[in-house]
Amino acid sequence: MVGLTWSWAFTWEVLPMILSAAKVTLLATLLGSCLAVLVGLAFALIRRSRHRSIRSVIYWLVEFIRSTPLLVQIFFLYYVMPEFGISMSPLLTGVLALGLHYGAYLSEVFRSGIDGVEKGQWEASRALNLSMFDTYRDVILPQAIRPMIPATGNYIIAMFKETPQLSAITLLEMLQIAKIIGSENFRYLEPFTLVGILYLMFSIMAAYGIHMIENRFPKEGISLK
Amino acid sequence: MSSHPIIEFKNVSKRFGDTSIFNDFNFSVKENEIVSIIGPSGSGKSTLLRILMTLEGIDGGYINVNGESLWHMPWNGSYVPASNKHLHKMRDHLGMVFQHFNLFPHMTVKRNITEAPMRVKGLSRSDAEKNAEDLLELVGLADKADSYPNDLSGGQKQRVGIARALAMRPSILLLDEITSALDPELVDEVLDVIRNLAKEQRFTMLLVTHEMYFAREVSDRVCFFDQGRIVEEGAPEDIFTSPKEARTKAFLNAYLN
Amino acid sequence: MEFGEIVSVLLQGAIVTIKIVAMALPLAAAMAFIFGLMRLYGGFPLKQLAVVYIEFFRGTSALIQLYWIYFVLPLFGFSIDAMTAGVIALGLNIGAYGTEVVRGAISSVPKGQFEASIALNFTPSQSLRRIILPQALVGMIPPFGNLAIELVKATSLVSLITIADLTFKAKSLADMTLQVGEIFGVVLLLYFVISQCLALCFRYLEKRLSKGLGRGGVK
Repeated sequence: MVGLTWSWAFTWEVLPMILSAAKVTLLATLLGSCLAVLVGLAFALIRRSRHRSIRSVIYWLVEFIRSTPLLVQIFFLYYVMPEFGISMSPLLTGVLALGLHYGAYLSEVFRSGIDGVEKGQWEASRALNLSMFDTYRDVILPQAIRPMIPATGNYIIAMFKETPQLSAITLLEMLQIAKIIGSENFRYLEPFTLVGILYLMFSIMAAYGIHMIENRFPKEGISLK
Repeated sequence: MSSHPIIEFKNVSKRFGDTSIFNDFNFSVKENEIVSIIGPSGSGKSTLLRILMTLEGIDGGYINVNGESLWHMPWNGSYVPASNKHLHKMRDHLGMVFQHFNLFPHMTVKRNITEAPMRVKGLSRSDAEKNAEDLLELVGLADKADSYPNDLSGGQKQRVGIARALAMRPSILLLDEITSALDPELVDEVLDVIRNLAKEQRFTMLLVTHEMYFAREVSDRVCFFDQGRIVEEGAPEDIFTSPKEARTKAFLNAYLN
Repeated sequence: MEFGEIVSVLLQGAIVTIKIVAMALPLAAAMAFIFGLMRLYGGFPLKQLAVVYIEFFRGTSALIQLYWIYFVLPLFGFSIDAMTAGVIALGLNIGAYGTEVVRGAISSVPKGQFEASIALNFTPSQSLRRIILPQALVGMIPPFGNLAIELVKATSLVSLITIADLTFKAKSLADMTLQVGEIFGVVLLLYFVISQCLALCFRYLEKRLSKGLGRGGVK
């Protein structure tokens, strides 16, 4: 049996390959989070629409995205979009799927963050005759951001941990590289364990980072320019 | 009334972090005595009861209950911190009624009263229920046996709390500000129950209270607490009509006028 | 391929998916309670063990755990079939998240309930079983419901270790035919239906349990 003992030589051999794939993983997470924030914000604002039908369409869309597997959504985009003549690289397909999936989750975070701003702030903005856009940009969102940081951060970490699923559409991220190395050398122990440890390290660092951001963030909110 | 001390604090100290609550604290209660503890909040009154009920530990000294050490047990000729088993045995002597009732919301009033006698004392269901009915009669809630705590008023909840503590037949009953969480108009129905219990003098009672007239009426002895020590103690008449210490006077003046 | 044929193939996959959920869910619940209680009440070594389990399974990704169990464990001499590997990986993963649910619900039981249990001289296990857990359980149901849906979604990962679940069937159909839109549309709908049914069950359970807590519930 080959895999029984840990081989350090093999570990050092494969570590650079896995680390270079980590760049793809991090890039996908970064782009995915940016898209997710935009999608989440859009959903959250549309959910506040005056029209009941629009609200309920978004409600069910969010519910649908949240209760179906990310992997199937990834496959859906990967297989179905070309039918409509849109062809995208695995990375972009993955980013789109991550952004939509986690955007649905983030919309709930943003919605409750916005709802958490005191009613008096809306009334004061109305009294000052601010437009809806200015009210959101200058009054509501600056105050809503801080309470949203922990939950948003946790979803971004969750997204990061789901990036291995992009290997299913041939994206060469960490897990896919590890699997390829494993099948070529018939040694799965080191590559998979390394990937696991790297994910654990990144998650812990990210959790700490979010904690720091939350603590440093001014309590009275910031102004958006 | 026997003169045998049923509760004895010897040089007890207790801290919460950097704050010292008791330092070299001595206190004793005789069997069947009814003692009221009054004093400003934060003076350690409730902590005294909570230490007796084993809800809080002590940092130094000894406490005897019924002639046995509460927080320590003999081992190889010296005393060591009590095991859970020892605490379990010692708690048999004690019962407590809480400021916020702490009734079990998922049980009917009757189950609240029968659960511990059945599970802890091993009473049969029929004995426990018979006992519960008698106690509910005593506190005037015979018709509420099948209600849930959330359907009762505060005064009714506290009367169930008293019945629940009595069901374990403690020899010492600890009453921790039992009317402080009640609306003023509900206070008397609870105090009436205690008045009746006090008349029978069947057990030792230690009560922390802000109801001065009530303390004066039911107690054999009143202790005025301030900053973790007993500033003054004596018969209710003496404490309330001719307090000697300035701090007692100031406190009673503020409270009674 | 006819639409009816596609649906019938996919339904076979759906049954496999439901089977995996049915096996992994009790495992996850057991892990959540065992390690959640260990984390709360265990002595030093047990508490540390629980922390390691929780941090490991929450800190790494489910797919890595699945691969590790499926590809690496056999090297240590545990031969594991794909189905068992899938159920174990998902059960342990969701269970780790469940420990926080158990812990949170128990910590939210008012302190007075613990004190009353001590004053009435219940043993720690009696107080947990008869006083604390019955009150904590109602609060656990909604977050457990959410985790159950996470589990349904996570089952799709087992398709990557050759189990013929709903996702696996969809992918093989998609590779065979060109009706990808229909296939994945039906698959998403099936997952949605499974998730919503499960959510409904949990809502019903919550209603039943809070009734048992006395009118008005614990608040």
